[in-house]
Amino acid sequence: MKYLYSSVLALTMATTIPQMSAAEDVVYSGWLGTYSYLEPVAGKMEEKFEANNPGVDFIRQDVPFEKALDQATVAHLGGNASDLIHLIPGWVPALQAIGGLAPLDDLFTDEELAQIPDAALEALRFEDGKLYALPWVPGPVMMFYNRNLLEQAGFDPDKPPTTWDELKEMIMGVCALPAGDDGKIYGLALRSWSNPNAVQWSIPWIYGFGGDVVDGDGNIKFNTPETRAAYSWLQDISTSGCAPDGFSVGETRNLMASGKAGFILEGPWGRGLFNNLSENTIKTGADGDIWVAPLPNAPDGSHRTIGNSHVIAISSASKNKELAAEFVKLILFDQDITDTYFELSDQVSTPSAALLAQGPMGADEFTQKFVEELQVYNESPIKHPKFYAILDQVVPEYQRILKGADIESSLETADKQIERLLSR
Amino acid sequence: MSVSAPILRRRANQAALYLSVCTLVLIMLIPIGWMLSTSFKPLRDVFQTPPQWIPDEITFKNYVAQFNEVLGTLMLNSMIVAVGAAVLATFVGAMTAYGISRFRFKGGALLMLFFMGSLAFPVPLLMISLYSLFVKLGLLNTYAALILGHTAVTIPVSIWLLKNFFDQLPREVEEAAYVDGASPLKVFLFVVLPMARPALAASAIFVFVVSWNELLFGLTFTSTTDMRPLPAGITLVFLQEFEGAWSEMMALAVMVSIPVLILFFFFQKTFLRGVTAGAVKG
Amino acid sequence: MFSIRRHPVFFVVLFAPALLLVGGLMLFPIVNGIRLSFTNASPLRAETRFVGVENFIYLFEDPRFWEVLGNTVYICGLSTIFCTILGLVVALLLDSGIRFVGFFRAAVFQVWVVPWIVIAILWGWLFNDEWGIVNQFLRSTGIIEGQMAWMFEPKLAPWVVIFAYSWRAVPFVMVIALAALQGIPKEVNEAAEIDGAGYLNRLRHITLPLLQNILLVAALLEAVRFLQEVTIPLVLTQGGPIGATNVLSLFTYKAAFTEWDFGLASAAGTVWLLFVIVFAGVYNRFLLRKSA
Repeated sequence: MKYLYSSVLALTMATTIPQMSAAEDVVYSGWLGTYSYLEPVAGKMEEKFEANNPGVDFIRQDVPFEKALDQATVAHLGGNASDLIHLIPGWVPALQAIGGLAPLDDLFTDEELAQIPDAALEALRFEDGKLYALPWVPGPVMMFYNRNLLEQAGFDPDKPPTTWDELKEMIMGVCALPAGDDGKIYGLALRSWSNPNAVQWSIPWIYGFGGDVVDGDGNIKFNTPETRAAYSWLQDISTSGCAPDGFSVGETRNLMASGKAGFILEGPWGRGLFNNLSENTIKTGADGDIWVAPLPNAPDGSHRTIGNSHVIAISSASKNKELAAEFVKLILFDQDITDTYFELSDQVSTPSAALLAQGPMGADEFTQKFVEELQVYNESPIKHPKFYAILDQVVPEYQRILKGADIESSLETADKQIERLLSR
Repeated sequence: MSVSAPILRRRANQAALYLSVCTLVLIMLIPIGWMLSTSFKPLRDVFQTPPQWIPDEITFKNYVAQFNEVLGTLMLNSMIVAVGAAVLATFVGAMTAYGISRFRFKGGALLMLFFMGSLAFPVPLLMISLYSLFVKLGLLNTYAALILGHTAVTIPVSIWLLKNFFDQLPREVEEAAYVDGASPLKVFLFVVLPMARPALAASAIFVFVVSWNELLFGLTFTSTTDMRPLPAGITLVFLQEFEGAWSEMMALAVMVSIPVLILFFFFQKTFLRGVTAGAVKG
Repeated sequence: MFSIRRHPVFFVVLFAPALLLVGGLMLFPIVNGIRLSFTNASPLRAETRFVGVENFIYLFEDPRFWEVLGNTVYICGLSTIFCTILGLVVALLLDSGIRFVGFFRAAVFQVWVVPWIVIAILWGWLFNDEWGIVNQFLRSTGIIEGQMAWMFEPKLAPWVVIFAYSWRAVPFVMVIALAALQGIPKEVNEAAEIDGAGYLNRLRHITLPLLQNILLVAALLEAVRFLQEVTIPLVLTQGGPIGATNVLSLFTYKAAFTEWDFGLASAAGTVWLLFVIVFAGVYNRFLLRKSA
């Protein structure tokens, strides 16, 4: 009997541990806490939010960036969505399509919304004219380059490249440097692993060559002259061994942080990231080890970059939307919070133009470089619930191209696969 | 010449035999050895050429770094789910196995064939309906969803292991109990089950290992860290932050393996007896 | 033996829980899954409608799905063959009259419990381009120079997966084969030895025929398990490079739970189920029966 009793007891215990959910909880799910250097920011937000709203318990649900969309979808469909959802613009349509997001227009005043640049808001407004997320940490993408390696390769580190040919020359030059004790030196820390975000990270190059992945009628198209030119440029670098083979985002960052790559694309989070990865042995600054420059202009002279921003949304299932909105206001517009976020992470921590121009961010040369790029940045171009599935169709073709395959036929295949996917 | 040629040849053969066995076993264990070796190195020694099997400097820092709340939660979750599934699958499996073994009825063999065949059911295909089912029952993101899922995919093996055991169990003891007037249920619970301890343990260990290992259910049926089992949690939480810190990653890998390795260290004989008895028979 | 007529209640008590569990969690999902494969079901869609065989046509028109099927057969097939042969070799060596069999068996068997997630992490380290011990070994023996990108070469990446699968499954085959070997009466081999049959001859004409069926069953079990396995392709290679390690389990899982296309995923799962049924049938008919 003892056996039966204990097994029944164990089973009951295992299945009935209740899920705590008080009415005054505000649950955030996102990747803030998955980076150790960002965790104090999250802690400070929690502290201040709970102080402003006595009796409210702020709960942080850590989800790594890679899985944030999947997990938010699972949570919504399973009926246990978090109140606040940390996303990037490309994921907003997917959650909006399953009714997972609350429209935000009524939760914020016009004055509050007026602080955010229109272009950034437009990217998050949907066909029904409503806003479903707010930009939080804007992320215009720029080139980070290793000044020491440039110098060693015989280039002037104070004169970053301004044309695509110059950039290629420098990449090849750095790549030709002899390998150090800790391994080969790459010209460009390009992402090419088997994951949709490798293709997402190729979009800045497409923009740089004056192209886009969405045509005038809103159709998704990769086989365009500009994309072919951008991919051909990348192919030259990859096939000459100047970009690593199949590296993930994390691996390329390690490469850059250990001084083994000349160039990498990153947003404003780059400085904090490289500091952290190199255990503060690499200094980012105009006269330091790493510095930033905008991507070269397109052949027609135009210039724009992609925004790989963080946005914050409120779940349609949230029982406390006003309270959740209070949290959003706190993290977007509270100078104390945005300054702390900036100081701890080096990120452009608010979309508010006013806050960016003052305080420590206003005085920081690095930040102001990115603020300049805010004028020409676009959020993720593909506004489709199957955003990642679409990019996933391109992944094999992109890898094929980087290994030297024919570009036009590969991109044609990619477009055909996308068309098939979207026909469903 | 005190030893004759055939004996010499036999000795040489024996030596060659031991050598090849040792070599093969060592090759099998290289990955595990390298994992252990790396996990005790400071990060800077990890990138040495040629590689060093015995680290110059042995550090436990990589292990200490793993002691955090998240890993603790994930371990606890996995433990609860694996124990729950092991108990449920083994107990229910024992009932069924006893039934198949002791009842004379048409379809017993067919039922067994169905149970074994269900091992080949594509798990992702099952998950689609299970997902919708768990949503309806409100079981998503609970231990129950994982315990039930893991039980379903392991119960066929549990039934098979236990049926083989019951088939070989002499009936005299049971029959003596019936003569004393006990009901079949009582005999099953208090006479048969205690005798079946080795087989029950083999089944429970099997289910535990499978559950400890399982990734897809954990990835899909849970959505918060406080419910996630280890494999899903590691995929979601650790792999992102750890890139490049190979010595810590290996320490994590060792720690994740330890519970099942310990379990096996102590119960290997019992388990192997259970598995091989069934396997060799049918 | 009990009869149902005499003990109806006991019969129900014994079978009800398992039938409920297996019926609800296996039989219903499989039948429902097959039904869904003829619909456009998706949690992203409010209404589900019947679409006939559209999903299957879509799958078979997709050259990438054929690649997935090819990869699956290649990876699972080779892994099964390798682990069976290696498992048999280890078992034969252990059964050759040496001592410490229990110790060696225990050492090898530890591999069988290493969690897949650990293998995924460990393999990433073993096969790392620059620092992986595999490349270091190949470099030191002069087979390669510099780096070899195991995970970025479509020809190499499947082998990384095959190594992992085979390695992990050897102990299982070994244990089964060893138990079967120990079950062969000593007299059979001794008689043959007296007749002057050499080791290889005895192996070929006595041992292997006796082991054939049990080995084939073990191989089938492993093949079915490899088909289900998803951790390595999902975590280590993510199906790449250029789709070279995209196998049926990963394809089906991704279709269902990252694209949320339940209809298509069900169709892929149904194809998988049919493949297993046909394969097991053929296997049973042509391999197992012949030796019986």
